[in-house]
Amino acid sequence: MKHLLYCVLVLVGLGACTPDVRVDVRWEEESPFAGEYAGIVVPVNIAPLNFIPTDSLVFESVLVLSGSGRRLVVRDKQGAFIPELKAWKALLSSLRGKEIEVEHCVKTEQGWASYRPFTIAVANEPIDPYLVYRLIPPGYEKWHEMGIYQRNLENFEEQAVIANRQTDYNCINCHSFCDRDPDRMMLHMRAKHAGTLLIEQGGITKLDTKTDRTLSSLVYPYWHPGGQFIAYSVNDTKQLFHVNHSNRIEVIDYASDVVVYDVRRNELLTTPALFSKENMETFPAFSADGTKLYFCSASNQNMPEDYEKVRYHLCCIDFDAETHSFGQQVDTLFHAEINRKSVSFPRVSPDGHFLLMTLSDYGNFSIWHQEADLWMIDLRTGKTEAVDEWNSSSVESYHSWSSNGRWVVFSSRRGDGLYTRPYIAYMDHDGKAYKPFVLPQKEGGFYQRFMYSYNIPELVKGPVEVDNRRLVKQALDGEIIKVKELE
Amino acid sequence: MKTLWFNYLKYCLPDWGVGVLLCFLLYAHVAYYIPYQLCELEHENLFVSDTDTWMRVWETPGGLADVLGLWLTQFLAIPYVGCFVFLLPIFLLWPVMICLLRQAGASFAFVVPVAFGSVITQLLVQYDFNFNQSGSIALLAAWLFLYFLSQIKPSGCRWAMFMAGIPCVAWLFGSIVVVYTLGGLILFFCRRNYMWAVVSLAVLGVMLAVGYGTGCIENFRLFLSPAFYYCSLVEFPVVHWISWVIPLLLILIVRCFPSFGSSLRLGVRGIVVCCLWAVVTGCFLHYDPSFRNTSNQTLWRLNHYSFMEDWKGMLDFLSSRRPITNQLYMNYANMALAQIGSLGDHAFYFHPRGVKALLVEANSTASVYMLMSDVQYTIGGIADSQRYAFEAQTALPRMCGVQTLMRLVKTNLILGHDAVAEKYLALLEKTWFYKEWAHRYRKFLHNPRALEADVELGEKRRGMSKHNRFVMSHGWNRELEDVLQSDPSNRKAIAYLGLSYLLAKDLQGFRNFLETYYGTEGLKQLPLAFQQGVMAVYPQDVEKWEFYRVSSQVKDLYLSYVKQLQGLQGYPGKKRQMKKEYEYTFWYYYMFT
Repeated sequence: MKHLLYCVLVLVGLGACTPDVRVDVRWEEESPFAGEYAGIVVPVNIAPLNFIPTDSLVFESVLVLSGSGRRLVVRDKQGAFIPELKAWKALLSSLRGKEIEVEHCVKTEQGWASYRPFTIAVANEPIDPYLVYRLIPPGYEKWHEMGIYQRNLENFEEQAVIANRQTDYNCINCHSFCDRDPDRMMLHMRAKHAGTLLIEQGGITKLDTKTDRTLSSLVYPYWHPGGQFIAYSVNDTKQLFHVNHSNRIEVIDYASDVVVYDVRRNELLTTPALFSKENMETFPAFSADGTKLYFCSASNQNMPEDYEKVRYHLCCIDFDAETHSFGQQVDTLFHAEINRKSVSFPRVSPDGHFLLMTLSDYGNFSIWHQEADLWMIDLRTGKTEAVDEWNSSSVESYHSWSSNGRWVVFSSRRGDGLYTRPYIAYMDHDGKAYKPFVLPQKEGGFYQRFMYSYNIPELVKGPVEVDNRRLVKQALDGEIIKVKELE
Repeated sequence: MKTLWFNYLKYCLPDWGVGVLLCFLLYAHVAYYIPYQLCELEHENLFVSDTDTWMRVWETPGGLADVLGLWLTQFLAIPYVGCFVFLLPIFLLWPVMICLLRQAGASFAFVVPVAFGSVITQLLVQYDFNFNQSGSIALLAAWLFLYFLSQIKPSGCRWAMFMAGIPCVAWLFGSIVVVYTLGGLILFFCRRNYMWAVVSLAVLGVMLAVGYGTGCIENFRLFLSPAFYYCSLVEFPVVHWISWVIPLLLILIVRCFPSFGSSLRLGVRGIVVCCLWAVVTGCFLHYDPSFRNTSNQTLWRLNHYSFMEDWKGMLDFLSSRRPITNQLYMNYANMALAQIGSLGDHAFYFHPRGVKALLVEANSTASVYMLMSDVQYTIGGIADSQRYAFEAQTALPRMCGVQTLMRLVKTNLILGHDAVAEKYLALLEKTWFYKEWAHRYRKFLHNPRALEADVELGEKRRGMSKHNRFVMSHGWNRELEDVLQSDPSNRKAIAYLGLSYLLAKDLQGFRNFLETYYGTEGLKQLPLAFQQGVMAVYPQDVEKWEFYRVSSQVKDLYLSYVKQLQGLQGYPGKKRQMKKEYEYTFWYYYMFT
């Protein structure tokens, strides 16, 4: 028995050993890792990155991560190089505000050689520790399994907030948080057990949000920072399939409006500017201080024939939370026709200085638009430009800010053109954007075999702690409160 | 010792013989009745042979059973081998149950047929398409584990092992832990050591509570029933509890009456044994149709033919089932006819009814979506084919199957979505049976020249609509016209388009169709059904008959048809009479269907 124990210990010891890497030759050539990782900025509290080479590696390789006297050797594990969690954390802590030097070393017949090293910056500011998203196959009309999940960004733990296998496989969508507060959230359920679940400080309310005067139940949400209001769109939406187009399908609105739901009074507010027959208003978003309501607006077209003519402007209107009233004037921040682009998902940074939005050639359902890109408006100067560092030739669509305003998570289909993955990117105080990296996973080949899309990635300040079973019980059997008619 | 062996040979050898014979008969039964159900199971699943898959063994309760079950599915489509693989875990139950029943004190006399009862119950349950094979694997594992425990002599040690086994079985094999625990209690503790039994139950209870509390067990009720191994989208039939209850009951009876039968005279024993075998066999024969999904076997068979592109096999099979009244089968028939290039000639051979005989409407099941994808792929509607293949994939229990993936690879390659095609190919490359296929298609990635040179993919790409529009925005005929505009040589699309007018009895539409397409590359000569259509559109116009080169046989047949029809005017049995000679003609369809 003793011998066996010794053998096991020796084997474990051998396995844990890292090769002695003494580089004899330094190549000027760029490492196959550099394209993806050189120049990225990572938060100090992020889980270990997945270093995956863009080309297959010819030689036995190791990655040497170093800085401030620390050195971490990372070995290949099924085609990916993923640092050990504790060692990675220690390295990041010691290099906060500095850079990690990444040296890709390969074992040749002549000994160890290395590619030209590259660096990864470690930002001073941490990212919010949790990311909440919906996992759903990127399908069309049919759905099956989906759910809203939360991922601890500091490690690899993922947990279901609610999965539709618990609720008779209905459709669960549009989760949203009040100012990234995990204790204040909402989500919708469609088909079976339809309703909107409002979660506030442990209490769960189920709402029936369809009223006679609104086009539909409440759809795309955005919380007022004060927590008393949630702005929503109401939409008459259809989807159609292209025969020969770079985009597979088109999700189009035939009509839409914007309303604001008063959480305390259980009533809807709106104003003619948000509820007009001539225009379609959608994707509402409050400013950081809650005094303005941003929304997208397009004039009605003959649908579906003229779907390519529908372009959404970015507009805003004043909102007074005290008096429950809207301003009289609508400002247009981004004119769709002049710019020949259409706006979706306006999101204001927590400091109120920037507005990040998605621009596509037309329409509003940008996740199916290969040309969709992220654009930023500096609200102080009005300067509007594409965030080239974050964009790719494929889709960039939904995005959310971290509570310190330094991090953005956005969804992109750059990986394979169909399955959306969340990317994390840094933006400094001056609004300079840095190269993003994909949400790291425990296994290197994860995204290659994962058959779900990450939908609506929302950063939150902590874990969603509402009890899953209570949430399910309320979703299935909870009393439904009808939202008061719009006056 | 000698007497023991003598008794064993005397009582058990004939029983073993009967049992083995029954096993062969069951194999034949499976091979005869559900071979295409097994193929469907294979097509609807995907076993990716890599470390990640095997790591799933540890990730969730029942992980090992699930992975092993999925592993077995990859063999199910192999003729005859699939049936054996399907039955293997069930057949293995038999010797294990015999050993356990003997351990419980059953006499030699009845143990063999009684043990076979549990084989039959499990087979009946597994006949259900929605029951995963992992359920049978888990049951086998639970009984096997109990048998090994029964070999441990010191009761304290056995109890400790039994207790340790509870969480292990739960984690690796899922809800079968209930059978394991109850079976163990009956076997080891039902007549003594009550305290141990109570403690064991308490352990199970605590384990379930912890599992539930920590979220490992999401649904408490599910984890206490065989529904754990059942497709979650479908309601679990209560009768499936038999696979758990019957063997437990048998062990309980044996434990309660251990020496039953040992004192019976040889002749009486023989009669009882014969009765037992008769009951087992009778129960199986009686209940088999209610467990076996009889209504879908044909659909699965047709889907398998389609998957294998065995159009001749499909038509031979469908010919034996005429007249076809099911529109799904009719879709397959027309597709197979189109594939072999004779849709226009044999369009009315299977008695189609309406335009839906060409393409049914979606009903949100994977089988129907896949059929729609097949039809669209046949005619060159690649975007729609891809859409329905993806919908079919989403509708599958595991949301990923070999058949849908292969179609998605092809359609994505044709549409130029190479990155996602590569993702699917990477998965198929990790399978045993589709590795070669995936390698073959990998060469088309980022290589449009190779793709266009390929007979199948190249033709489909050339036939893609040059102008974008929304799918089905102007109906099915417009879809086909669009395909033909891009590729006038597409004979399948021409056959579908012409036939869609005939099936809709739209003679004006058919006239326009002829004017547009006759003489084009895909319609240099009219097939039989279209010639009959010409006669219906221009009944008096001999010039048109000549222009469209209607054959003399068709002309003669038409003239005799008209003559006979006129002769039967007012006759109530006209339809029956006309059917005798003209049931496969467009004219009969036009007037009487």
